[in-house]
Amino acid sequence: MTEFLSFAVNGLVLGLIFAVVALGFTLILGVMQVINFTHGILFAFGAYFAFTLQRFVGFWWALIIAPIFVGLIGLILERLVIHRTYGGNPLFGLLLTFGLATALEEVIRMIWGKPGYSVAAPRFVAGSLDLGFMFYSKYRLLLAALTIIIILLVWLFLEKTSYGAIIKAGASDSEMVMALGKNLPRMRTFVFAIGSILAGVAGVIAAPIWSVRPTMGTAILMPAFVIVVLGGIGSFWGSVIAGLIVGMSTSISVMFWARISDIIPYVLMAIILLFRPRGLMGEKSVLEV
Amino acid sequence: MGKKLSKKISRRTFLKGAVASAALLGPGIPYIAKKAVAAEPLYVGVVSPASGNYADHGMMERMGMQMAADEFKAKGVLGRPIKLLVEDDETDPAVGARKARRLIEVDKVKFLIGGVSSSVAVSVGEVAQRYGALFIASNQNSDTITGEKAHRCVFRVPPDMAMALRTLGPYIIEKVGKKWYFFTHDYEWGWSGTRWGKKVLEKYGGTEVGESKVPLNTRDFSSFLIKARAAKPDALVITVGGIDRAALIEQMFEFGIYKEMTPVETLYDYEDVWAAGAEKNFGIHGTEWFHGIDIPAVKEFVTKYKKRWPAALIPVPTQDTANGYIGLRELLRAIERAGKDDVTAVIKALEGHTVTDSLKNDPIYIREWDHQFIWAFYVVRSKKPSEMKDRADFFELLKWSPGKEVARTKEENPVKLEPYPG
Repeated sequence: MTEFLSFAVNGLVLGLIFAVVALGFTLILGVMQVINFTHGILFAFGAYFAFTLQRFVGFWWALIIAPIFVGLIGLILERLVIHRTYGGNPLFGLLLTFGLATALEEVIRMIWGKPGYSVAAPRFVAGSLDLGFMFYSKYRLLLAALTIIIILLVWLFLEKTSYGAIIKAGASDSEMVMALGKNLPRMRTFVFAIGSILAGVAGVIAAPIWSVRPTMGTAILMPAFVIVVLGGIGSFWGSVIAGLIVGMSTSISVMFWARISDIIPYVLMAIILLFRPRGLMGEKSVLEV
Repeated sequence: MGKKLSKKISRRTFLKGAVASAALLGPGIPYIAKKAVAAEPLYVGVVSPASGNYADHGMMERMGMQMAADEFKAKGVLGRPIKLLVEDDETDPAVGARKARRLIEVDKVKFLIGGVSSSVAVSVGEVAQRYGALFIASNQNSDTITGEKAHRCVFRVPPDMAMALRTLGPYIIEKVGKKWYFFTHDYEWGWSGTRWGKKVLEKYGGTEVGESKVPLNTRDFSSFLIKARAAKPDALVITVGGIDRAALIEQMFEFGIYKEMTPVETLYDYEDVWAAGAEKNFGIHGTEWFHGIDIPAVKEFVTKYKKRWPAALIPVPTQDTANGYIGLRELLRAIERAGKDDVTAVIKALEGHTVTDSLKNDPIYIREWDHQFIWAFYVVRSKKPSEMKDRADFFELLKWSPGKEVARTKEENPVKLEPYPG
């Protein structure tokens, strides 16, 4: 039982990281109708920046500075190229961002080299917490708390601020929002930057768990995509719940048979889409014509 | 105006040409003449990882090979200069095989050396055997390379996992405990480590309390650590390598696992210890070689390394460097003994040969029937940061076994090699 609880908590933590990555992904997809394949590589940049910065400024500052850098990269990408694909066939955006992601992965190889590095968790939370009925790493509990705070902040922003309301309105009827005199292009750039920052934050906190390596962006992209589809495209809580489901099932499957943990998310997606073609909480999505 | 300009340029070009011909006529001519009479270089193909899970190990072994090549720089081999043609196997068996084939077919290489991943060694070995080239597996430890998948054209420098666990296992049973949990890297090498670990348990009446097969490229070990902890073993016997191992060490520290059981790396690579750092250096381990072995040959090798690579990432040679050095040196010596660069002749010169200057406590015997280099294996303890004399002083030597006492016997390893090539 102790073992099962520890596995469940572990799944919860993994799921929360997945959820933060997926949130940024679904936000950009929902508002701009762009399947942003650079999302994974932005996650990788977050991790690499943290890996380098932590040695100089420590964990907390890295947690703040690295995502800002990543947000800036996202901002530049959006302003330079990605905004040109808005309103067109969603395939354009997908192809463009796919190419960008491949190029950026090479940039990582050029800067940090081909081999990966393991990243130390911050010292002040080294060791484990043994509550008798369960046992877990202190760092990962801290990480869980951080991700929950981030998810709540994003939710509060989208639901409780007027800017959030404009963003949501822009997603469902962009012409009307423009007609009301809102600066839609600027808002979209802003949303893209927020999405990138979310990818960056997830990269920073996941670095000690997954180590850094050039391919880590591609590795996270597939689960993120699966989670977004599973939860329903554009759905906030859908992504969070789907993230938790994927994290939990991956973790618990290791208890029984480690080898299947990699395919579990895909099997889940197949089963859920059979019964709910738009995902768990999906409505008619932007990608449907 | 245009005329003037063209005149100016032509004068300049003339001057350049004059300088160039002067350079050629001066020291250039003897250089060209010397090149013409010099013998065709002896090419050795190096198939070694520069990317993937074992990239840093590959770097260390190539440094060792370079040191061996340096020793033959002045006199050459059979009067021919040595040229290493280096290819990255990307820690991928398919890539390794492709690169090996290209070296043999396009570059006409007869001799290959290198590699860290056992899976890559198996595929490169098959290519070498098919084409009748000679392959020295310099840093792979799976049983199969000199076992089921042994070839006439393949020799293996480092010890196999039988030698590792037969040296390490009894010590762990005696000093740490009889309840073991295994972490097995899910490929050739990992399986070998755990298989021999289980044999040791059987022989000494120990118990296996569990095993986790860890897929290659696993970086999050949390689930495995939770599972291992629940089994309450005395020793966590780990055959996981490369960056995966570095991540595992970080997370053993993160979870505080090392306080509850003794981590035992069946084959600890110095690159990984170095990557983890002094604070995360804990447990009792097996190792094929480390720079602290107290014999003059090792001290001399360490000095040579420091002189050759003053800016090296790791300030001391590792087991990969030593094996890379020994592997290439013995290949080149064998070519000299054979008197020609013929593969069969070189194989015969290696088979049954004894190397007295071995960099270990015992000489190397190159076994003729399975092509395994038979030499010592070591058991070490991770030093605490306070015990370290310098920043590279990670290990204290606890025990060593001569290779011939722990190697597989002919009965345990009934290998039949193919006939000689050609």
